[in-house]
Amino acid sequence: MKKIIVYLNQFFGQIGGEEFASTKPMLKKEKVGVAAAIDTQIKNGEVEHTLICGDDFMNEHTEEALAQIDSLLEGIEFDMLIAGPAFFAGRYGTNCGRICKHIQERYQKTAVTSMYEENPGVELFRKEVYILRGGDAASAMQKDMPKLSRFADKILGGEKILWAQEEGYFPRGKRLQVTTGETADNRAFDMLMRKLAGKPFVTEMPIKMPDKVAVAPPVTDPAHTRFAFVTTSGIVPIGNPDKIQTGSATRFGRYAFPEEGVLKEGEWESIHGGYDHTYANADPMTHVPLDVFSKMLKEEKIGYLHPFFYSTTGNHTNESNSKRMAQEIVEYLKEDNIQAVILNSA
Amino acid sequence: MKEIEKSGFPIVHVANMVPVSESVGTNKILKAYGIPYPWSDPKETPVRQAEQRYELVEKALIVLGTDVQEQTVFSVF
Amino acid sequence: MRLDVGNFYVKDINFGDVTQFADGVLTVNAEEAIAALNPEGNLKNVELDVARPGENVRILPIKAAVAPRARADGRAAFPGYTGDMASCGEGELYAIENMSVMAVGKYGGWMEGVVDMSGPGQPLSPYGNILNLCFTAENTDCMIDQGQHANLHYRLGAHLLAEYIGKAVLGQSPEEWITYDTVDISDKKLPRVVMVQLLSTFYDILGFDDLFYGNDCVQFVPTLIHPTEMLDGALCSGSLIPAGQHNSTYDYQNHPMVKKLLGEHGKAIDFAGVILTSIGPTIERKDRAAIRVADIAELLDADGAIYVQTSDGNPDIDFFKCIVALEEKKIKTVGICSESTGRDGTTQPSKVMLDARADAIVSTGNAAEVLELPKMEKVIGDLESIVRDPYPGTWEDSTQFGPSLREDGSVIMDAHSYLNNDGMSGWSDKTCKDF
Repeated sequence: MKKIIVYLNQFFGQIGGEEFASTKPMLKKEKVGVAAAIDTQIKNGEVEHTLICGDDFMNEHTEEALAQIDSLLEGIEFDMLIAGPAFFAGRYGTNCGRICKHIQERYQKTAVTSMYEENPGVELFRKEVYILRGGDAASAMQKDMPKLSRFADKILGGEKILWAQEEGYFPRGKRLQVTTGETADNRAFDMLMRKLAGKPFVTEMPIKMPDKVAVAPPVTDPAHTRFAFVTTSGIVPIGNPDKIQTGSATRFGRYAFPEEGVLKEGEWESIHGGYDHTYANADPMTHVPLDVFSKMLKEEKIGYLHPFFYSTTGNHTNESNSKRMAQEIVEYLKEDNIQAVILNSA
Repeated sequence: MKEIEKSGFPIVHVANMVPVSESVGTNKILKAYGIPYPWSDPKETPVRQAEQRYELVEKALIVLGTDVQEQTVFSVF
Repeated sequence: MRLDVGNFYVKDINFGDVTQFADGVLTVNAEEAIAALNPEGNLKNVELDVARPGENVRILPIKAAVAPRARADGRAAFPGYTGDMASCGEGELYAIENMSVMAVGKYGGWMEGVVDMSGPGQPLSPYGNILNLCFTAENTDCMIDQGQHANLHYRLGAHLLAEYIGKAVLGQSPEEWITYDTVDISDKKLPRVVMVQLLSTFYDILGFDDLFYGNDCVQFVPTLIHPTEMLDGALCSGSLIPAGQHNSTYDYQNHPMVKKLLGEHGKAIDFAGVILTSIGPTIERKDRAAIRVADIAELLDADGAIYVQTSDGNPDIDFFKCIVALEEKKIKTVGICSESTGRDGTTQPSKVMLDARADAIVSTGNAAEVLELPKMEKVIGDLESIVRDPYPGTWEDSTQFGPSLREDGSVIMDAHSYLNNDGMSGWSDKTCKDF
């Protein structure tokens, strides 16, 4: 029978109210309060321990609290930790997230919890921890607890965990392919019929617009500014020596601008899979306008040009690789005291 | 783009696919001639193309020097 | 426009002295077939082979897939391409169902694809469940194999072979006749619906884009056609889009969304027509396409539209622009597309741009889904191409996945290079969900 630890704060752990929020962690070999109810709702496991910690202690001395918890857990066998439900209690929800993340990282056991959508613990931990959607007050206990127990039961039973909406947890940042029982032609037709009839329908790809970045200060004096150039057009030396990928790029090339101040046909090529290469191969400067930079340097219109250009491909490049490559490029630019960047895409 | 700007570098995105850049949330966007030929129009003579490239880079410098409060799209054509 | 399609269902394909179709078995005279597909000798080392569902067979690199068709009235199966220009979409069309003809080459690249006839790959696209008569060949002029592949001779060869095979059933009685028609039902007052199909059109040079009545769709401007034209050979596939998202001619000929809408004509909808549109290499051309599509739909008094995408990347812009243009004319639109959620599901967003006004989308799955495919006993084509050639869905090596082609012959790749994995024309039973 699988063994479960339930984590509760001082209140649900029946220690006391707010005045006991500084309670240090304790491990009881019994089912306290909520833990007992959870135990009755789970078939594939048994609650053997209740781990209780004051919300203030865990919140203000997190490292110490976790270290103490680790000592308490020494020699204890367990397969899963269930924390909460925490509803809208901000410290409690955040602590539930913390303990779940810690358990997963240190003990490689699954840990799950439940809380209300606006609980700060959700944004902080939903990527790493399964957080079930819960109500906004303890009055939701009768609904939230069975949901949490049922979900924990599924995991303990080795059942396949379905997508967020189906199982009732907050999306963890992954969007995965799923096979449905219906082909796209029927799904599209049915969706259109509902839309035409003014009936509610559910889009398969909900859209959320992304957030903004603060504008960097303007370049007031280009003649005394140090510039660098980056391209995602995939212009590389002939033969693609760094084997930059035609799509889904994970790396970039760092190529010295030729001393002659121009890029010559035949010495460079495009390896970007998403457009016709004819123009790029005939004149690479339609993607990397080195002739202009050279002229502007002579005319003293720009102060300095970083002697390398950075080149990768921009199609199917995913966000994390793009971010990482950008960070690596930023390191080179900082080294050379670059002050402004011109970047082009295909 | 956003990652480089987050690190404090003023940056201009020269691209034909303006809606993509807009959708990503880039702050300074300068329209390019085309996907396979961002900096110049291949239908023009080589001399005119070199001029187009010069004009577009010049505009890029101006865009970098322009103070914007929110996402702005610039164009030379 | 009424098209009557006479279907013959093939059960097996063999080689013999005479090309004929009898009792569900297609016999092919290999020499004749090869001569038919390679009339000018632009291909060399041409060989024929058959891949059957359930067999331990892998086919790659696939450059074209075409369904065998023939017309009893002497018209070419693909007017303007394999024969003289003529109208499509009306009359009697003979069709051999349950099979395709495939052109398989030596070099892979941006658009070439893989199909497995058994194992986890089999259900990913329609090709795993039909008989595929494949010809393998090389270009006689090997210079053509460098750079980007227009695959002109392979593609024409596949269409010529499809026509040659199709003729084997002429004069026989089909197992069934299916009528596709859009009679005038204006009295029924059903909602008028158009389907918009994004074609594989993007380049400014000839040879890569789709063919419309044999005409290269370079610099294409949106065009209205009758739905039956698409089923009857008006559209032939180009050499442009990654395999996973690629509409082969086979997909146009058997277009599930077109057939579904034709089937509902007179019952739930008034199917007003199909608008073909293009991927623009500049914003101006994308705007032109979106505006033209919306204007044509308005001209047809459309109440609703279904937009069928192909490819992804900058065509996502065409997707959203077109849908928004239709919605601005109060034409309620559903878009069908695949998503790129990445090899690990964390790529956000899953389209290159977003517009919340596209509020009704059917997602056909993850274009970058990682596929683990076992070793196949038999390979039709060139297995080494997996690591040697620049497929978008394979890699020479990777710290996370290792090389795409392993020593034991098994493969790890992503769906970009699995033929028609994304099934946007309606095949796909996949979708994406937030986990």
